[in-house]
Amino acid sequence: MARPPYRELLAAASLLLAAALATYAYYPIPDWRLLLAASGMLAVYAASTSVDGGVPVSVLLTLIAASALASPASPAFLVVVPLAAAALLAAMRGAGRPALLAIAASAAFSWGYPLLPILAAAGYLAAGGRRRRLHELLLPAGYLVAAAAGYLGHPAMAASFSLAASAALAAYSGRGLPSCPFRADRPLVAAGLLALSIVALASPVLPAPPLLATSAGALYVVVAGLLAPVGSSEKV
Amino acid sequence: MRPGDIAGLIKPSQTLLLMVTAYCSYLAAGGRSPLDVVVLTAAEALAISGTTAANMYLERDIDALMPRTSRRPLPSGSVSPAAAVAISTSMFLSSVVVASLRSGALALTILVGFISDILIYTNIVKRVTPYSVVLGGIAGAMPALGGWALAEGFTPGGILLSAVVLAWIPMHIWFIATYYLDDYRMAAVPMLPVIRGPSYAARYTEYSTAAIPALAWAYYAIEHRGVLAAIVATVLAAVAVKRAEDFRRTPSRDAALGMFKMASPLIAVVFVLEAIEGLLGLP
Repeated sequence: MARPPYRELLAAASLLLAAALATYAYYPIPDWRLLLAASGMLAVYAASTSVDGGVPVSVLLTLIAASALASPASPAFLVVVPLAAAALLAAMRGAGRPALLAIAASAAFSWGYPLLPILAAAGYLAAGGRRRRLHELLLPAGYLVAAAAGYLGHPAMAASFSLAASAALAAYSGRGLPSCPFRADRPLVAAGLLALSIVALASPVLPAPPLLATSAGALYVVVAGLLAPVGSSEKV
Repeated sequence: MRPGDIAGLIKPSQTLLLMVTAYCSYLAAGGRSPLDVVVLTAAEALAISGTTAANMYLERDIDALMPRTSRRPLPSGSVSPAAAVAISTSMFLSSVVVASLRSGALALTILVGFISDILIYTNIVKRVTPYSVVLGGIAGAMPALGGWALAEGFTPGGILLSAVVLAWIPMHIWFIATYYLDDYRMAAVPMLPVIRGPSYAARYTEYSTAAIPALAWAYYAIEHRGVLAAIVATVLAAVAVKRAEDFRRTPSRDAALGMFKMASPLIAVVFVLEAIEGLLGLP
């Protein structure tokens, strides 16, 4: 097996770190910021697998990933770091629409700045062109609800919708990992996304323990689908 | 889809064995609540079954290649891949909901079990390294830890009991892999007996099996109960190591099957004794 490129390792690591963050968000002390950080890592996966470019792009994506990972323990004003990295990424030649996904990455964990997810969602819609599938609209809708919930002071709802939207971003925008021993498994990813959507919709009424635990579990299903072994075939 | 097909997807006998470790750990830790037992039963049965079904879904390509597993519900076509995903996901997530409503610690063990079995073992290491069961074994140890944690939280006694399961897993997996060596070779699954040979794998199972009584005695030293379980674990592990050593000298399929058949009763007896001693308050 050839050694996978750095960008694909970053993508796979982002998914595993998202799963770890979601678990830590649940236990020992419920912490919504960790769920937001997990959604940021999902968006890093999406950007890592879809943004073109060389070493500078990889450096910027690594910076965004590190910012997402550290965001629960970082001062809020440090959100400017991933934002600046995402803006640089968007300005790069050839990055185009996928670079906006990186902006979404920075927005996903920008707790305290609910305007940013709205900008990310608007950017996603603006960059998408005319042809659009229905499920793609769920993504910006999820970010918009997350932002609104953030403004209205419902952190659980904001984090749940942000996680579901970022998982959709990872599932629909990521192009997979052709040089890694993984492939995206559609049924498993779809099942995980469905579960995350149900959890997000139920977030206003669910108590914190089952909400966080089920969010983590549903995220695992998505990650298991995105990192399914290459050999497993849907045709079997 | 018949009920038998669903049963084939969730391996009831394996599920039952792991649930025995969960119940016994719960009782050994001093748990006595009927509601806890109901939650433990529902949560572990759903979690183990759902995780097993997810594992079967992701390994259906391998299962189709091996004669031993080619008649399983997915490769045989009696259960569709989409149905398997629906069953596994709904079971696993239901278990998380049930467990988290009662105990954060129990739900955590279920989540860690899924990470270990699906994300780490099935998705990443099983097709890459012959030592995959060492990481995948963590999933098998989680029901025991979950049962204990439900009663007492994460304390050293529970970690030692779950480590007993972890130490037992190489014996359980590598001898059946030895018995079906040609199957695994055909499917290009790098199990230790395939890559390094049955004797080499048997040597490792001797080390891990020898760790079982050591862990049982450590449990006794910390919890001040379980002496009978420790004595029985020592005797059974000694017999297993002796038979593994005989196998290493003259490997045969029949001997490998005999070792595999010995594995499940060994762990069941040790855990039942731990539970009885905990229940009766014996030293």
